[in-house]
Amino acid sequence: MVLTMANEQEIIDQISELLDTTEPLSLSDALDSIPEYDSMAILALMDWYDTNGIQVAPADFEKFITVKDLVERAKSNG
Amino acid sequence: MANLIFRKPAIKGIVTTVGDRILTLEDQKQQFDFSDDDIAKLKKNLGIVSKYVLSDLRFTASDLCVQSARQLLEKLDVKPEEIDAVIFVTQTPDYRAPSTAPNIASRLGCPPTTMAFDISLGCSGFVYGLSIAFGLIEGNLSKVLLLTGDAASHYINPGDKTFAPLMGDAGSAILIDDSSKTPSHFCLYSDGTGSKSLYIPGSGTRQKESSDPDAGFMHMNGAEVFNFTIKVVPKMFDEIFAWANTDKDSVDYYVLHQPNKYILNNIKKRLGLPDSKIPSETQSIYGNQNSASIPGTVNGFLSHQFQENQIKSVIFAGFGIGLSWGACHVLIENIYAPAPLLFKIEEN
Repeated sequence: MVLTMANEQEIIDQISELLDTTEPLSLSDALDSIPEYDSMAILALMDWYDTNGIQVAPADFEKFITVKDLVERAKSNG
Repeated sequence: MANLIFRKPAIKGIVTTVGDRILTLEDQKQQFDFSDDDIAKLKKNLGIVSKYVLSDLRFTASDLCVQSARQLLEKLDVKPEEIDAVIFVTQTPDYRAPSTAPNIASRLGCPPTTMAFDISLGCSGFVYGLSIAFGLIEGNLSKVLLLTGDAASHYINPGDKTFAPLMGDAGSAILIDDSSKTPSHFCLYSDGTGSKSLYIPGSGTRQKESSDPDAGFMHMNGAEVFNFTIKVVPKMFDEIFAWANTDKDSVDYYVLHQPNKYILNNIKKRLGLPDSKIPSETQSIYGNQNSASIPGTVNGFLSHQFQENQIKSVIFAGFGIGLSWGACHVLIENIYAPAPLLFKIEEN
């Protein structure tokens, strides 16, 4: 099922589920402070963006600093 | 567009020899300083359980392939002088020059009338090599011996904990003759813009990277490789279905290159294929076998099915280093495909 990327909290929840985080995520969380944000998490996010028709390149992940950056990308052309 | 069709070639047998040393993830715990949590994650995320490697690095991919070829020729009662061509697909040749295939042909007892050459490809190497072998049969040769194999242990950085646990050593031999009555279809592709997603810096004549501490060792950008895979593989399947005039449900088995379970599960999900049609355990048990991973999967997990007297519609698909990818649709019936052999060290 293709996901609707309209609701910000819904997007955060989906990212949290993908990363299998133990703590709830917030927009301001720095990615490098999230223990579950590792190389496998990046693959899962790439798959998730792609499945939802959102363009993302591996190099983009070097520019993403916070959860907000992930969310903004999801909203940008989803 | 490299879409090919062949009418005469048929696969008669596939044999794979794997490295004689079995290393579980736990065996590698000390080498890579893995915690119990690391091991649990690698098992869960990538499906890694063990790998089969050469215990003695005096031996090479050609030795693995020679052992496979000897068994294949003996069991199919084919004499070396009947072989018209030997093709060796590898990224781990015995020497940078010359090609390894002529030496392999001589070791097998083939006469000088046998043509022999190498092809430098990895993950897509079986499909590409098969297309060349099929082309030679179409060009009037009677029997071609295709060898696909790599001994990744020779180019793994022993300290690379992300790449080294994935890779196994294996060599396959495939006999192709001119007995087919049904066509085979191939779609082949490449994209050199991603050539450094997976490569060995400082390993050839372009030595700019020779000061790189990774020089001589395989370097992988996992995210780039994954991104490439999810972009091209589903599209490639659509194209081979169309070219071979078949569809997803008509294919009995999808035998894919086996990079890791995560990627294979992703492909499975995107194509909507059941586990029974797309074996994905090879890398977990034997390690990523590079160009031998597709025949290695046949021997490892479809040996019984491929030896049955019933025609199977099969898609072979390889994708990775190059970047290079390709798929073919073939019909398989009662070929010689035993379980994998363990490499036996024979001093010459």
